[in-house]
Amino acid sequence: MISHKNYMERIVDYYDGNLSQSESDALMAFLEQQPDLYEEFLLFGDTMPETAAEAPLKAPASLIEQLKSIPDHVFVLTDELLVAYAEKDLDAYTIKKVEEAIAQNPERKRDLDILLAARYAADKAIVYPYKNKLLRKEPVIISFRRMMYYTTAAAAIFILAFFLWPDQQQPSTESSTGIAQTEVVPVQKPVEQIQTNGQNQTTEQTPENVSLPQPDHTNTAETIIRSTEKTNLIAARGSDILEQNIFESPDQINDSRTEYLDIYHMVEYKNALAQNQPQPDQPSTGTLGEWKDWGLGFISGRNSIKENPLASVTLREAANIGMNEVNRIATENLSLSKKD
Amino acid sequence: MDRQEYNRCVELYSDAVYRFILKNTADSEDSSDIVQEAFVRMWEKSETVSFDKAKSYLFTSAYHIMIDYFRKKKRYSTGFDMEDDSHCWHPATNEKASSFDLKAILNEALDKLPEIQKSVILLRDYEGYSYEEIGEITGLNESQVKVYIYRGRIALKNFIKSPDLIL
Repeated sequence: MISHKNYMERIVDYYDGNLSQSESDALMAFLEQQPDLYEEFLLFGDTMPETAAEAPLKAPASLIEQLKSIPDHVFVLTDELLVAYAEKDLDAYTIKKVEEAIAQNPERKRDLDILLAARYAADKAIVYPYKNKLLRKEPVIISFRRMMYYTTAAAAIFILAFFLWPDQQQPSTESSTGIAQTEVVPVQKPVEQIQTNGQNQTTEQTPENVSLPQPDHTNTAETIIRSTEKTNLIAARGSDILEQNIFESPDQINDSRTEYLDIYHMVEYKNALAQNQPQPDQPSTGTLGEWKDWGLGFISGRNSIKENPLASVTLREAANIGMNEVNRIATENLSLSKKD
Repeated sequence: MDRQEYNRCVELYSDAVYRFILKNTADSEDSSDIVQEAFVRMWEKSETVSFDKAKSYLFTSAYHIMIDYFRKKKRYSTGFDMEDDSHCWHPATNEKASSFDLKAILNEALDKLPEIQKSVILLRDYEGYSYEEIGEITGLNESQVKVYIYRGRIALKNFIKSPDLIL
């Protein structure tokens, strides 16, 4: 019975001429029902050497009789045994028998030598030329933590830039010193305003009376001391009052609290930045509008870190600058608050 | 099999598979395509193919792809003569082999073997596979592998001993 398990053996036997007519007919009938196997049958036949398809030679009857006369216990070194010996596919007893037979038959020894020599060794010089194309590379994965770091840093810088840089959109006010051109209210001068019985009386403080402030404590008017407002919101609240006063340079103020001078220089510096007048020793730090545009662009993914207004400054450096600035201003504000 | 193991397989086995296929097909470009296809199949099955079985899987895939290649080549080419080995690639036989050049003689003899005999003998000699492993790769049982190896060896022996080579 021919099946998918043994059809190849039958095909091999067919091309070797070992099938009877009835077996050949059975094989053909089986293959007619299996088109794929029939194609394999034809392909196999095409790859067989012509000699293999020839009918095997029949041994002469006299030789057959002679072979039959050989006792069963006599060891015959057949080609199968010789190949199996060369393939190391024999047990120890048979190996010994084969070696004894080879030693007694030089012709078989030569056959064995040929079999052992007819081996193929891989040529190591032949290598697959497209090995790099087969390699699988690691996909580029931006970790969530790293993205959060970038986003947080960008947000911090954006917020710092919003509060630290002056807004250029608001109208400017020319001060007596000619430096402050924006809406920033000058803080050079502490003003003491005394309100008495509904009458506002403003007194300019000269260096003398500033060094020795002597408010009229007997007066029932409420005394309001305003100083160092450096933000726009705070400054706006007192702008009505301050506009009525004459400003002085803080250098003229004889006051031990040096924070006034620091604030003055800072505001002066910021005003200069607002006018796009970079300080001689300071690199260009960009304007608020540039920082806003960059911050929004960075958060939305349009800008990279390297495109920030602070040229040649990394994200980490920018964050450190921002944090230092926050600490410094917070310290100053706390110091002023305590002293005030 | 993870990505690192797969890349390790590329480093370890791509040359061996390529040499085996090239020896059978005698066409470097087709051999490269077959090797590439075998590795693509292994990567697609990387979740089920372990690193230990990778080599056997690669040879099995490449062998079957090569069989399809032979079938297509047979189907689409006319006048293809298996005895005509002028289309074959012989690294050591640029001219008629002499009796003193055993390697060239073996290459010439190998090309005269049927494809299946050629494949099992190359798997045996190149990679040292056992009968069972060759059977897994070629889809044959162990007895069939033994038969094909025996026939191939005897054919090679007879070819080497043929009077034409001696003369």
